[in-house]
Amino acid sequence: MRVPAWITALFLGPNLLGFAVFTFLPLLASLVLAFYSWDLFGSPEFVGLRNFYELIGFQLSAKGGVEAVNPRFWYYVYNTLFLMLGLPVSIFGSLILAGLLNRRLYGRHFFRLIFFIPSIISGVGIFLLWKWIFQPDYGLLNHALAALGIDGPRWLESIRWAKPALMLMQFWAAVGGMNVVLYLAALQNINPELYEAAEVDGARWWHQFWQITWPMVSPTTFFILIMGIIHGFQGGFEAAYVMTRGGPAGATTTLGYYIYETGFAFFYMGRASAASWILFLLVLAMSWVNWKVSEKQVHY
Amino acid sequence: MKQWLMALLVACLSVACHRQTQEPTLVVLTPGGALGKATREVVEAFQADHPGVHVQLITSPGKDYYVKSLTMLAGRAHVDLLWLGQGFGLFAGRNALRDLQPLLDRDPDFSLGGYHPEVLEWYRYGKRLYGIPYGVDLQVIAYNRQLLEAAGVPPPRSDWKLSDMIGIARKVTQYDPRTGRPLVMGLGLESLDFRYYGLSLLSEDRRRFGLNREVGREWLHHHLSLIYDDRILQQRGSLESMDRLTGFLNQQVALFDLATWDLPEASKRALFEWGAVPIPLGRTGKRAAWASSSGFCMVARTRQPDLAWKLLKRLTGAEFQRRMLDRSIPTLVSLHEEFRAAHAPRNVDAFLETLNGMDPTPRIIPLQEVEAEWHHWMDRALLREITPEEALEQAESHINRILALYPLPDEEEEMP
Repeated sequence: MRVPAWITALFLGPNLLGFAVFTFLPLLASLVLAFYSWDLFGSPEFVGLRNFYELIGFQLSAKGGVEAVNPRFWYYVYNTLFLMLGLPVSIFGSLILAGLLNRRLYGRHFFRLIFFIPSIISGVGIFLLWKWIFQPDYGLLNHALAALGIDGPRWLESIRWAKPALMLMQFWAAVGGMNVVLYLAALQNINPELYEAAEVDGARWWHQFWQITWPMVSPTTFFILIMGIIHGFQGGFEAAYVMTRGGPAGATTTLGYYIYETGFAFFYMGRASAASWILFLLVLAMSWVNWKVSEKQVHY
Repeated sequence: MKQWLMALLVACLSVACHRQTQEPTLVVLTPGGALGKATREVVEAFQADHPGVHVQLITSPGKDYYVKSLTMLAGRAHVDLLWLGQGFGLFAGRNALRDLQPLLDRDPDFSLGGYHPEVLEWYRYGKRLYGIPYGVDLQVIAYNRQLLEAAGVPPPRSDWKLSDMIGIARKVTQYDPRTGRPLVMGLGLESLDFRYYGLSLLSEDRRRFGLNREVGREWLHHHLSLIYDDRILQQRGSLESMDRLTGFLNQQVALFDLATWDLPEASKRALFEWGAVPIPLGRTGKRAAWASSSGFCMVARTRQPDLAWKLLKRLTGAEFQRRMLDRSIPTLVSLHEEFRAAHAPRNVDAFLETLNGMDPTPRIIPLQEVEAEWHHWMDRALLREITPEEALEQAESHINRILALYPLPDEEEEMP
């Protein structure tokens, strides 16, 4: 039976309206605003590409060389990329964990629940908890290190250790959670006959993993990687806001936090919009590269 | 169906009419805590005296108070009065506040004659008066008398110098020989304030960064040597958990920059003898202490300026100042004796003495951005990521660029 067009429109309408008002129009407005200077109070003033120049431009320095107009922006791009270095480790960790939880072990349902907990509890709670774990004088981590005879660093106060500390926390949160659920589903979809055949052929567990498990879960790995990269570029705001306020000396400021600070602390709405679109282009470019590189590695 | 629609319409109209005839409402924004409580008490008294008036008090935590308030005003939220301190320039420079002078001129019962004139000036932007202060916030140096006595050091005098402070800190600082961790840190300051060197963050005309000069470089090198060579100054911590007041109260810090708002906590929790002196005299022989103020301002878009003015007078008047005596110096000079008495037997003369040597944070529109830029480069230097020279050069270049984007109040007055 052919459904009349007006019924289709009736069902799609509310959703499309919501999308247009709350997503598409703000997106469009932010694109327009990226070419304006506006502090929310006066009238927006057209400045062309100046916002982009203020963020990613270069100028001649007084000493004769070339320098970034805004070196802090580039430093925050570096911070964002650095914090994403933990992504492959957490993906691999999730796969190993899912492999363990997929076995017929006693209490596996309990452990599945335990490892999923970081995904359902409040992010702010987690960040406050880790803030105290990393506390250099009274924190759990340095206390444990001291028991081993190691003088722990001043984690979140140290420009060198603040980023690794956040990566450690992210690893804890990401290794369980949704990634494990996705990998569990992927592992349970692998035909057991493949393993039986491999065993008959004398393949060891290592070969079975590389030749069967890894290719069979590759679509899931690809999905997790793409989502991880997108979240990695957009993320870091909550942790920076709650734990470090972007410090010390901007060492934990990510692009997400910088956009918030530029827009809602300094009230450069145009520059914050421009930074958001630069972030979008970065995510788009990285996703495209990822797509191209992974094209031949993913087995559907 | 028609009847239902009619009933709905009548209901809507009655709600709308009800709103129209509602009692006049004033909305007041303040940070929470003790200030929020004191404001609530005054508001309740105001409502009791004005039965037809409803006052809504919105308190938001101190952190990000300015950002939240500014966003509310930008979003044209109904706000009539708001508390403002050193972030005053962010609001005044954006024409978000109402000039109080016409209201003041019309009011024969109110005079600013008794207010501390210098602090009152901090609420002027250009030629306009945008707020009335009720309190002054500043810092003095608190010392742990027992730790000083144990090190054989006499308590500092109010005419002490920076070298005296460093000398005392050297004598009282103690490290655990086994772990190398500090047992007692001499200086628990947020930083070695550049004001001790007679410096200001911005030039006198507030057009340029003021620290990138010979004395500024000397100051930053000295700051580093106190942290890493002398090891008598705590590293500047950007975390709340690094609470210097707690360190002082735990007797782990001997000298500490005590702010007026720390007074209730320090008086209540200290289990040892402590005293306070003004910050040391700077290299120029003058004293310049960080200072700020607390006051109330009226929002430019208020629809009830006369009613708001009545409440503002209460929120900045003698009664309110008395309520805040435990944590800020009253701006009415006549109440200074009461401030002294409220803290007796503790001697708080150091605070009153500092009123003659205050150096407030500049009240400019891009204050938060300038401070963020400066802290970024200074922290990188203090963490030895870059040299003091590089930090000052970078800070100068970027802060000057930020300052160039904004007109100063006097320049704004000249604009058509």
